[in-house]
Amino acid sequence: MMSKGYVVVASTSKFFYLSAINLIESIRDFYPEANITLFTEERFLDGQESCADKIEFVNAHKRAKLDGMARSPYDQTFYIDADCEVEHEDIAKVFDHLGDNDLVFTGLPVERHYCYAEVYFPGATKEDGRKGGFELCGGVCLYNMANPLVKEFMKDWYELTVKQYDGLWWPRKEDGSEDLENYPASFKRWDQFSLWWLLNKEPKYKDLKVAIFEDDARWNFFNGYLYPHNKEPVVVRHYSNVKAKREVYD
Amino acid sequence: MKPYRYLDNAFWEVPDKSIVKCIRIADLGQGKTKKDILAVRKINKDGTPNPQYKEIVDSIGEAVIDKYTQERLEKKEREHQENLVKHEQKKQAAHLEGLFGAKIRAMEIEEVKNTKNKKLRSKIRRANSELEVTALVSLIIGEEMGLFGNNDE
Repeated sequence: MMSKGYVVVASTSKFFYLSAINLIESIRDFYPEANITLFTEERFLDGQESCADKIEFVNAHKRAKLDGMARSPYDQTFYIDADCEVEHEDIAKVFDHLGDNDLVFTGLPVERHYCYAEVYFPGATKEDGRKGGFELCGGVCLYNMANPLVKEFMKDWYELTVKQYDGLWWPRKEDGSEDLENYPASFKRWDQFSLWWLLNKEPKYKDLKVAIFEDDARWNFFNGYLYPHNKEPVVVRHYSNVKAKREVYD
Repeated sequence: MKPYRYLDNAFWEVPDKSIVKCIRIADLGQGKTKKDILAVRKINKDGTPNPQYKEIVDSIGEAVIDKYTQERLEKKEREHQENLVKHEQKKQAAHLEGLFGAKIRAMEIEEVKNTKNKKLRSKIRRANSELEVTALVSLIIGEEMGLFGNNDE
């Protein structure tokens, strides 16, 4: 029988740890029996972590979330960014949305582009000449770890992103220099780019079945949205830009 | 040929069609043009018909002005509704953001951190205002201090 559970990762800042506790308890408000693993740093533990079933440690890295995602103990995993809160009982039914997909994300459709600084870039131009760019948002991710290729993908996503952040990897031109015309330098500190690269340029992963949630806005509703992009009630609300993060805990 | 023309996007400024608003593009020669926005009355102040009004309506056509007036009204109404939604959404987002911050800060308070009273902790998460968060935190602190008698969950 497939194990199913939630993964939350909190590193680098106490704010994320406290948010993660809040998130885990909010999952339990609607789904008390949920399996939940918290990946965090030992230095943050203050007793409140007992709301999770399992505690695993990660390094203090901005993208430790990818390490946690890659180490999920569950066959079917729903990863949620720590600065989110659950506000609907449908959280218990999220695994029904996996179907035969390997990865399910929320999307970045045109009507929500106002929320993002950069979406399009030359390297993503479609074969028919239309402009292309990021189409997936990594705030939440439902994935099938029972598929070894997904496990490998998660590990690669983490490792490539660490290299990218450390300045050790970037797409190259034929002359060996960094291809900054097709892939802007502004993406160098963004795991969205490594995700795009692996799914679009890495042949090993071309057969992965990647989908977007139906009524996806309710599964990762950015608190900064100017319009109610969801049809059904919000399940996961994302506080990615709260003042508390900047003012108190930085 | 006249040295100017009227754009088709003219509309009635008032429902009784007594004022038409339109854009006139005047040809200044050498490829240069001048754009004027006109609001023209059907009847002059002295009660005589305004020939410019007739010229505009004849030139563009009453049906075209009717159609654009209707489209413009619908567009304005849509924009108005959208702005209302946007305004409400912004207001709610600001409220929720403040509330979220308050809940996170509450979790740093020793008594909240250590309380075994899951019911009160859960109530903090579902609080609707920062004031409610403060009140619930006070209850937890009071309980931890033994102010309410038994410390049972």
